[in-house]
Parts: sequence; C-alpha cells; structure tokens
Amino acid sequence: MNRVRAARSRRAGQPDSDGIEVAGVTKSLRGRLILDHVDLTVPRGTLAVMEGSNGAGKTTLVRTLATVVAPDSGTARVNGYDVIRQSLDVRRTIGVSFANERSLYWRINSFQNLELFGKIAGLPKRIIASRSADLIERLGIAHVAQGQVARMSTGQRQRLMVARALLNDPAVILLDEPFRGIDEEGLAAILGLVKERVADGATALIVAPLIDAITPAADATYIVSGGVIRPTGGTSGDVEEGPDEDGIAEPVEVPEYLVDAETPTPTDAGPEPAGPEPVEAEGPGRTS
Amino acid sequence: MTVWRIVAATAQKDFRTAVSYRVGFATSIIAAFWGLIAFRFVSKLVNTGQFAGSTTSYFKFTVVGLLFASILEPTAVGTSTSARGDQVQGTLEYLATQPVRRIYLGLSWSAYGLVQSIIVAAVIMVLTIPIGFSVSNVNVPVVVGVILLTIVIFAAVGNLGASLVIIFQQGVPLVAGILSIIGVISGTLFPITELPPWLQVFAHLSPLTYALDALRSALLADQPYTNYAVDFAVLIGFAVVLVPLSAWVLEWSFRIAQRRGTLATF
Repeated sequence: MNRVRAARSRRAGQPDSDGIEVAGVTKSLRGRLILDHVDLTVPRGTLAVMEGSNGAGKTTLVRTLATVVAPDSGTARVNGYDVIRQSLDVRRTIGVSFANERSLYWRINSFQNLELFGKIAGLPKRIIASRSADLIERLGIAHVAQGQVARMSTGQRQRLMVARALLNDPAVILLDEPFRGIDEEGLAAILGLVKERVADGATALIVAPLIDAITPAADATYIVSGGVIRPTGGTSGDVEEGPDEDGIAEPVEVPEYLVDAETPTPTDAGPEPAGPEPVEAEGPGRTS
Repeated sequence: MTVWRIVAATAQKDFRTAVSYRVGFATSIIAAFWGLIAFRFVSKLVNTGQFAGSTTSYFKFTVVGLLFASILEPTAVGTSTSARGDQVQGTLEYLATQPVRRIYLGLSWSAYGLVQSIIVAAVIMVLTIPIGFSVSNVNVPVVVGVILLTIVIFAAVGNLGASLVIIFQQGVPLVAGILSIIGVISGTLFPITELPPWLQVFAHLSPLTYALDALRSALLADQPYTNYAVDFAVLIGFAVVLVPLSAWVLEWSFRIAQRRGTLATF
C-alpha cells in the first residue's frame, strides 16, 4: 500500500491552475506493471508529499514527470506542458533530484557541479554564483563545498542534489527521496527552502518512503492504493490519515522544529534568496 | 549560442576531472610520441626519401596520417565513451532532464577529448621535427577547412555511436572497430594504392581517404585550390548527410530509452 500526502500552500492568492496533472498514466517496465492508470493533480503553489513502499512506482512517476520515462498510456502535464509532446518545455520549468547520488560528478567540487548544470540550464554566471553560494550556505554544506564531491557524505551529497534542483528557480520541483541519509538539521533546511519556493508559487512533489517527520507540512493527505491516488482530506497540523488497510498510518510524533512549518520569512530563514532573474533564451524560469 | 555554452561547460568539467588525475595528459603525449619514433625507424627500412606513389617520405606520410587519426579518434570514439561514462556513472539520466536538445549533449561529450588531442598532436608535431618531420608551402585555409570538416563528420559518427550506447548500453567497441577499419583502408599508414582493388572501392567510400589526401597535399606539397575541389565536395557531402542524421538518431535513441525506462540502466 502506498500513501500520498499533499500539502497545499498556505499562501493565499495563488492561481488555482495545476502544476502537475497526471491522468490515467500506465507504465510497465520489463513486463511488470508499475503504474496502473494513475491520476494525480497537484495544484500550483502546492507541496505534495508521496509515500509508498519500495517498488510501488513512486520513482517511476517522478521520472515520468521529469521526462526520462515515457508513459505507455495516459497523459502527464507539468506546468501545463505535456511530458511527451512538449518535453523540452517541461525540462525548462522543472528542478529535479533523483535518489541517486551518482548523478553528481564526484571528481569536481560542489560549486563546480552547480556551475556546470547552471550553465547547461542557461543561467548567467553571476546568477549561478550567487544562487550557488546561497543554497550551499543554507543547506549547511559550505564547509565541504570546495572539496571533491567524492569526499562528501551521503547526506551532504543529498543536500547538494537538492541545491542543484533549486538552482534554476524552477516552477515545478520534483524531489525523489531527498531525505536519504539526511539528519534533522538537513531535513529542516531542505523543507524550508522548498516551502519558500512553494510560497512563491512553485509546485513541489516530494517522494519519500517514510514521511511522518514531514507530515506537519501537509494540508491534505492522499492515498495511493492499487495504482489509484485518492484524496483523504485533512488539514495542516491536523493530519487525517488515509484508510489504514495495513496499519502503516500511525500517530505521528512531530519534531519540534516542524510544528510551526509556516513558510520562513526572509528574516528568519537567513539571507534572502536571489529572486527570479532574467535568463538566456533557453534558460528555465518560473514560467506560468 | 546555446550549443557552445554547453560544449564549453562540459569541456571545462572534463578538464577539471582530467586534471584531478594529473598524469593522464603527460602520458598521452609520451605514448603518442613513442609510437611515432617507432615509425621513424620503420621509415628507414622503407626508404629515406620518397616512396611508391608518393611525393614525400614515408615518415612524413605516416606522421600526418597518425596525428590526424589521433585527433579524430576522441571525436568519434570519445563521444560514445563519454556517453557510456555518464551512463555508468549515473549522470546520463540527470543530463536528460536538462533543458537542452540532446544533440548538444552529444556534441559536448567529445569536446574536451578533441581539444586535448589537438594540443597533443601539435606538441608531437613539433617534437617530430628534430627526427625528420617538416612541412613546406602549407596551405593554411585548406588545412583548417579539411580538419574542421572531418571533425564535424566524425562527431556525427560519434553521436551515432552514442545512440547505440543509449539504446543497448554497448557501442564503444563497435565504433572503435569501425574507426580502426576506416583508418587502415583510408591510407593512414600507407597509400590506398597498396590495397587490393576490391578494398580500394571501400577506401573511396571513406571520408577519411579524401581528408588525408587533401591534408597531406596541403601540408607537404601544396597544390592549386582546384586540386582540392573533389576532396572538399565529398567531405561536405558526408557532413550534410551525417550531421542531421546523427542528430535525429540521437534524439530517437533517447526516446527509445525513455519508453523502456533504461536511461539509468547500465
């Protein structure tokens, strides 16, 4: 059984158009049905969190939205763009982190990794420099950022991958297991950054096998069962668990630093992040 | 321009990676130079002056052939090798999420290897002067034109090889093998007139044959521009066909991998 919890941004006034729209998506890999007519709608300005057991298809769904896996049937749209017919447009608007620390270049350092992907994404050099410094500082990896990625711990690499996902100020953030090997401080830092972006109108989908620690961030909960995603209601700070078919949904002990999971203001969240900047022609940005 | 930005950024990354291993650059120069010294002695066996069907010495003939092949090798084989490297390392799937056309990734895969090989070739060419290599009446526009056109053609071949890697997780040995065959039949080490007639037919289907002909003439025995017309026409023809074809095949290979869900498979 899988559970999906979605958190709707508390910020009022966001347009109610959808950041992620999945309708009837089916995907089989090597003869095994992974996604079975999955439907999912994540409105713009929403933080959705998806939970599920290993092999349930969460990662395949994220990869589908990131345009690296094509659905067999159904449609998936990200920020209004079809993942098949408008894949380049989709890739311009997303920031992705896969559950694969090998997706970084290990022989160069953190800044050089961000510089490379920033340039590929079309960001101007000064934007790359300022955003890299800010993200690395706020994610708590500044002290290891000048050394090779190979010398970083798994959790530090995880933070760097999140930094890379946020570097282009994406309209849709897709994070697959971003809390792997992450301590409480790292979890808070990642959640804080993501919620900031969501408050600014971005849409975020986070996949994690065990999400109880971040449940307080949710305004609504969803359940995935048999490949079908169903909302179960619930509000922020008063999370209603979905159908408890297998006893997974247990009362959650909430870490203190997440009890007030409001979007941090620039004052309490450290330096104000660089806002959306004009980028070159093929660069991404928060396009609506 | 987007493509140059991506190619430069990737080359910079590859340079930083190469520097982190330190000894690679020096050993590549030593290895290539040592190979040419061997041919210096072989040329003494063949003759000391001109040899059959040529207007130059065997040593000069070989230096041009081998150095040019050394530039093309990383362009063609290096592209699929880099694609395979990203596939095995785990960065290929992430690169596929980037907002760029896949052909730009393909071109970027060979950039650093190409620059490095050109520098190595230039250094070795200088090093071979004391042991008997020299150029005369160099036709610079022809030399530059031939080198650029041939690099474009072999970059396209490299992208076809990278497509195999993306679809089948294999392809590097195949591209290396094909390049080796092309090198032999195209006159890298000896004139194609030494080949049996049936193999000479295949030699005339290879762009490298025309490129080497033009390059040797322009470096070692300058001729009127009209003498290069056929060589340039053939090279341009190959480029016009192979460049768009390789771009389409590379994009198609990514789509196949997307359907199979194998971009992260190695």
